[in-house]
Amino acid sequence: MANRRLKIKPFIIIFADLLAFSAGIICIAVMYAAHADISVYQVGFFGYFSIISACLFAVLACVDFCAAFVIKTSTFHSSLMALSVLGCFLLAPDYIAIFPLTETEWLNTLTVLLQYCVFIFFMLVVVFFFDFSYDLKMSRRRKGFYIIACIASAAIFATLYFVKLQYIAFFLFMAVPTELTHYVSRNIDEGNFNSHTLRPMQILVSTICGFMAVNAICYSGLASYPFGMTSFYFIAVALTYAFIYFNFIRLTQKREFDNAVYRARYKDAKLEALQAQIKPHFVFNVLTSIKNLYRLDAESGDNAMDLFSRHLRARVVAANSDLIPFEKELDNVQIYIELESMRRGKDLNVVFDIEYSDFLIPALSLQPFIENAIKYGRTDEKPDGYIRISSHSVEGGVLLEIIDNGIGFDVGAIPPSSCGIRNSVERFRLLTGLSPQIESTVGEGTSIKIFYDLATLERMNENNHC
Amino acid sequence: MRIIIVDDEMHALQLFLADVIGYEVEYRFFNDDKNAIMKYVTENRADAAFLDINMPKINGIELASELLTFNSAVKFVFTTGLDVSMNDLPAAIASNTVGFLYKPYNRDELRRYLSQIADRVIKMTVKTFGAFDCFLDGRRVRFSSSKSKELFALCIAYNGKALTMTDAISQLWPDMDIDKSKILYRDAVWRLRKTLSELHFECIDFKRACLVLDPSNIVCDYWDYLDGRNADYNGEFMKSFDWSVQYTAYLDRVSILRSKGI
Repeated sequence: MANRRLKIKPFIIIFADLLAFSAGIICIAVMYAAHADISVYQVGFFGYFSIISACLFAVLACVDFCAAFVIKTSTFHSSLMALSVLGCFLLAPDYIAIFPLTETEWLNTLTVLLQYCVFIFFMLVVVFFFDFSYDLKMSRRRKGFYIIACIASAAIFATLYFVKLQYIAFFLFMAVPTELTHYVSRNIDEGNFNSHTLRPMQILVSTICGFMAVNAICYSGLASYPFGMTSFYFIAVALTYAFIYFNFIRLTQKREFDNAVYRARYKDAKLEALQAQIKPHFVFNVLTSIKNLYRLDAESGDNAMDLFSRHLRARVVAANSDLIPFEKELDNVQIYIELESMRRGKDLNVVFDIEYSDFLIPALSLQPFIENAIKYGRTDEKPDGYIRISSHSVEGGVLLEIIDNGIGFDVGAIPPSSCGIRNSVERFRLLTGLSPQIESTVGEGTSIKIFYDLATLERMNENNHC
Repeated sequence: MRIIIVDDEMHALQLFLADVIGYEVEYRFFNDDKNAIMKYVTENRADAAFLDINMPKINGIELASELLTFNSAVKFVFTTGLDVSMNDLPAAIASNTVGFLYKPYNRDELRRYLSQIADRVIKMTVKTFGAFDCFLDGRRVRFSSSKSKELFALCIAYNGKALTMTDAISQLWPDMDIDKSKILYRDAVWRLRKTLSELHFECIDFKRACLVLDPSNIVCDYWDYLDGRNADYNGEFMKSFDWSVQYTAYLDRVSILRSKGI
């Protein structure tokens, strides 16, 4: 199924792009031809800008064509957005005002309203696309709020339009899109990747809103149109499209954070985590210890059996859940440590320095770090060896640390046998958007730091309540 | 107290039997034969039901809602191999559910549930004379670290007074630098909290930098001795802990005064 879709999609995309491209050219040409005699609107300027815009679209179409073969999934979203943008600027308010499509007034009114709706729809598409593909984990309440805000603003726009207060109505163009783009760029910044690349997009959208404001003033008759005003608007939209588009290509290639890829990778990570935990030698060693303990006395055998079944249950839970409360994960860690101490016949010195524990964590994600500290850090061989798990409220969030004073290792060369660590880091990234910082000095020990910033904590809480 | 136990596996049943036998309860086993169960509960009033959730012929949760129609006060304990929680149950059943017993069964948990069903208050017995030890329902409490045990002992010795972090650190880690001892203190507190919550015996109010013990369900020989209710003191008090010396001195004084009849 997925394969078939991948095969068909490039052609759909190319077709859509060519359609968009030719539609743009035709529209420009028709308008130019139909109104070539209007000198008031600086037809000369308009002409130049139209040609530049057309060239831009040609370039974009070429890029799209090439990209269709290079990247696989996100192109579809991009094309969808491109079409929305196209629809948006072809129905730009000043265009309709200057070049009315028909003589019928109600039809013109309808197109203006339609234009506003398309613009709002485009903004919603942007937000939901980011939420869906980049896993911003927007809460349902927030989504609902946006949809209602958009509908409300469309209604206000229509009302203002009908009472002939169009110039106020045009200001509305600024409010909703600015908030939406601001939300997206803010969350992407905090979340999955630091994206300086998305800042230009936000700035550009704000710029367009600015243009629209000026446009509204001119349209209302408070000021006269500067040279080529409408064309600036045209160019701004085209540039936005270009920016968004190039950013998408870059981001998808760089981070592969596309939804399908994300899912596949997440599934892999989860499977890998499960496999990593089902270490046959661990299971059989524990079973052997249990057997021996039962020979010694039934009660310690029972205790060991309880521990082991709790450990197994934690694995089953981990297979079915993504994020679990930190306290629960600490329980899992403690069980694991007790099993490990039982197996080794000596106590492991693990210190739980827990001050703050009200947050979520990927299930069984701490265990590999502890395992590593025991196995490769050899903390149990030093007389004063310890592993410390600490979580504290610090300025701006919560800091979770796993520190040991074992022999340390070269972070660049994490042994292939410890795929558990890499897997854990991966799941942290995918599920929380945080990346654990691993620092290790040979001879001094290892520290793993995970910083939960307030925004992440808040988002987790929000999602938890939904 | 009459209990019905429904489980489709005889294996699980046999083990269960051995565990329940120690208690004075009338119990009855059933396979997943619904008619037999219904017949029994119409004739006899069952106080509690231990139900397996996944059985081939009937579902434990559905069975529970039917049992509720016979006796609205019946208590449930669900026995299951899977991870089930209160959130997975309908509200009417959840309010009558005492808990979940995961396979392989844990005896202590089973005992606790039986006490809860019988509305018996579980008391902790604390032995301080000689070596320090705690017993819950006749079974020794396992602390997950020696320091968390020592911290609990200190709470007992404080006898209802709030134990502040500074006090605890100066008693338990007298020679250590403050940052390190604070870490170890938090570790001991965390472990103690875990141990008590696992036993469902939450007798300590963990406040910020201060512990307050609720003595209501604890029987302690030291407290009894101070109140004059027993006279077992033999010169040793929590002998494995360094800080107990000051208490021993005090107890010695008390015992001398008492022997003089004052």
